[in-house]
Amino acid sequence: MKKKIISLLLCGAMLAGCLAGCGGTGNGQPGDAGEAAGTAESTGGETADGAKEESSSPAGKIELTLMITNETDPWAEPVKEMVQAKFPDYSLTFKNWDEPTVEQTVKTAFAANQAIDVVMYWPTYMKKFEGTGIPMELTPYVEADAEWRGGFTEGALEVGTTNEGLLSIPNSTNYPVLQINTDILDEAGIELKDNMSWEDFMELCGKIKDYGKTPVAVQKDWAAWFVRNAFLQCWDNREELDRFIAGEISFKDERVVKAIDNIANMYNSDYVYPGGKEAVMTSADDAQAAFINGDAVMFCNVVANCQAVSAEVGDKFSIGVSSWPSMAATEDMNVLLGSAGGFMIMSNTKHPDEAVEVLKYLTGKEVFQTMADLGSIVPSTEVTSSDENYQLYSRDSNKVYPDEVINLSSEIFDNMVYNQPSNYLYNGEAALDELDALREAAISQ
Amino acid sequence: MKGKTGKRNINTKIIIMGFVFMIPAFIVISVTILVPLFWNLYLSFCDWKGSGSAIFVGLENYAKSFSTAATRGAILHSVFIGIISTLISVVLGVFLALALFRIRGRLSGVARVIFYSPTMMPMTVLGLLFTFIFAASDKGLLNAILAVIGLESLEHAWLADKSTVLLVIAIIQGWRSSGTIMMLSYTGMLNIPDSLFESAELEGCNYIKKVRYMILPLIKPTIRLALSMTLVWAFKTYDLVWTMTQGGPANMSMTAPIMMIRTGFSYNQYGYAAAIGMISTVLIGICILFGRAILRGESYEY
Repeated sequence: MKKKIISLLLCGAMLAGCLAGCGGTGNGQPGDAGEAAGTAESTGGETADGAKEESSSPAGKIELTLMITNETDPWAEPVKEMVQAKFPDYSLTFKNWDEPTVEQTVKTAFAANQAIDVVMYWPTYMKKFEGTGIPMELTPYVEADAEWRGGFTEGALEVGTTNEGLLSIPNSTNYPVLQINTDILDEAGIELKDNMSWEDFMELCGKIKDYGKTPVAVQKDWAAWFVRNAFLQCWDNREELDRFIAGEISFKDERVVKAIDNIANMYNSDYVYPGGKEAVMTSADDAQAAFINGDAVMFCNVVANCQAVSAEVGDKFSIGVSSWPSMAATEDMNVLLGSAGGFMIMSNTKHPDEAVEVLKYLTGKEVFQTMADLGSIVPSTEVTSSDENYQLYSRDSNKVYPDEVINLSSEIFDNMVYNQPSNYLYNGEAALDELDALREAAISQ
Repeated sequence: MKGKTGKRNINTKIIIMGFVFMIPAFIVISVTILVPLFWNLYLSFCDWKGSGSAIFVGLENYAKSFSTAATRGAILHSVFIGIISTLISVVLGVFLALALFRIRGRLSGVARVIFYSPTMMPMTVLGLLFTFIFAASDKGLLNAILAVIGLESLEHAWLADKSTVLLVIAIIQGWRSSGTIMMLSYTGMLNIPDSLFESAELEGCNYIKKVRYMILPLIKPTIRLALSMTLVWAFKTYDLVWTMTQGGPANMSMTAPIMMIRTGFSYNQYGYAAAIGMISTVLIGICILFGRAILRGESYEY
């Protein structure tokens, strides 16, 4: 008898579990009384279950799936709420945006013929989607709306433009800077130059090391910035740079070798925390802790994250902001890598016009002002900011170059972003041979 | 005569019923394993970017897998991690099981839970935990301990050195899997009849002799099973490597699963990724056959 009762209970529990599971895949439809009308949330790690099969909900609302906010962004929640308030007539499903899996999620969704209507993706990296047919071309929409187009800073839209047209609209600019513990420099009597050349930077590093401190802290995921910036700056003119970006100049060119040798020299001189080649594996927490604790004097950061680090430092010491050291021979070549956050629309969306309406709002004055108020550097001519550091953080935004050699192919992207300078430090010129083979493969396609 | 026909009818009915009951399982296995396996095999001979039609390219993807240093390296790293971690997990697991079998009683139960607990922990948690332990700076626990006991000369960038990074990953993977091997082996030991142990004791065997001549030969089928399982797990190592090194630095710890995912989802070369997967599958099969051949021997009934 006991066994029968237990069996019945287990069956009941399984049935309840099945029903609960079925109830959870409602494609974001407002099925539950307690659920906010027209909204739902799902996780970004899923393949595309939040994407819709039907063109409209039973209530007749247009259904859109949006993957537009990263929870770690301070503006994520306010902007999400603004979008919900702005489009009460749409049934919106918000999927969490997850940096490591966003590309995989989009491609899996597309392969399954499911659409995530608006997706946050870096305009500078849209070449990764070339030939896939996934992003919708936005040029006609931008050209048709002069007010929308005119709100962007000069050249901002170029970063999302590929050979297939404008595929992504930027909503923020971001580039690397150095945050510096000026108290230590003052104690040591070391003068900080405002715009450092690479030679100035190495001289500064030497003085800091002589004073007994580690000059620079950089986390492993950002170590490639040194190489990427060097590969932008080492050319005689922009024409040569563009030829290099187009894959016409070899990675074994003497200027490339000299540039990467400079960076290897920085590591081999123990200028990077905690010292030696192993510094390429420093975690984000370790690098930031080294700066905050005063072990490292300079911290490689992105402008969007500067305020957060300053808040962590608090009153411990004064922080200065310096431009990234330049290997450029002329001012014209003092350009920087830069990302731009932004949005694309998947080409298999069933509601392109409505998706564009959402996109216009996300990249319009109202949302941009909110983002600027929360510390983001936005590509808009229309926003104002009361933060006195805002201009300081954005002063090099005009140096951001809209293209990089990493966009030549996904393989070169991975090699440079994830494997440099470690590959060169450990394998020497074989690393450049590898890159050059990838370049040749890319241009042959 | 009538009785025989009736019996045959019943047997036929039972067989048909058996097939009917197998249908749901067959459908599930077909959809989740067989179809993807054959689709993957087909894809490995094609060039497919994730959308559009697949173009047949013959053995090109396989040739590329063997000729590209990074891919070749990733596959070899997986083989290394697979073999070393399997050795560690089987040796450690069986040793722990023998120790538990020796002590038995309440303490054995507590020890079982403790030794099995790593298996229950998510790989990502273990990966992060060991990243802190093996960190290069003096913030790394292992380096800090070495410094405290005066062995500064042994301090090392464990995860940034070619000679140690794969070994460290293999040790962690092996240690993690040892709990399962321990449980399987321990269960196998419990199934050995007490009368055999009593006979051995009458013959004057100590525990070491019992282990050598009785326990290990009798649980050999269990060890063979455990070996196959751990080899497959270890070859698939993804989350541990990803959380600890992401395959770096300079591809030193790149494994086949990470390379497959990167090739497929980052480079849009699904055919090439499928070929790497097929090569890995064949290699796993060879290693399993090799391992089972080493442990080949008579099976005892008791």
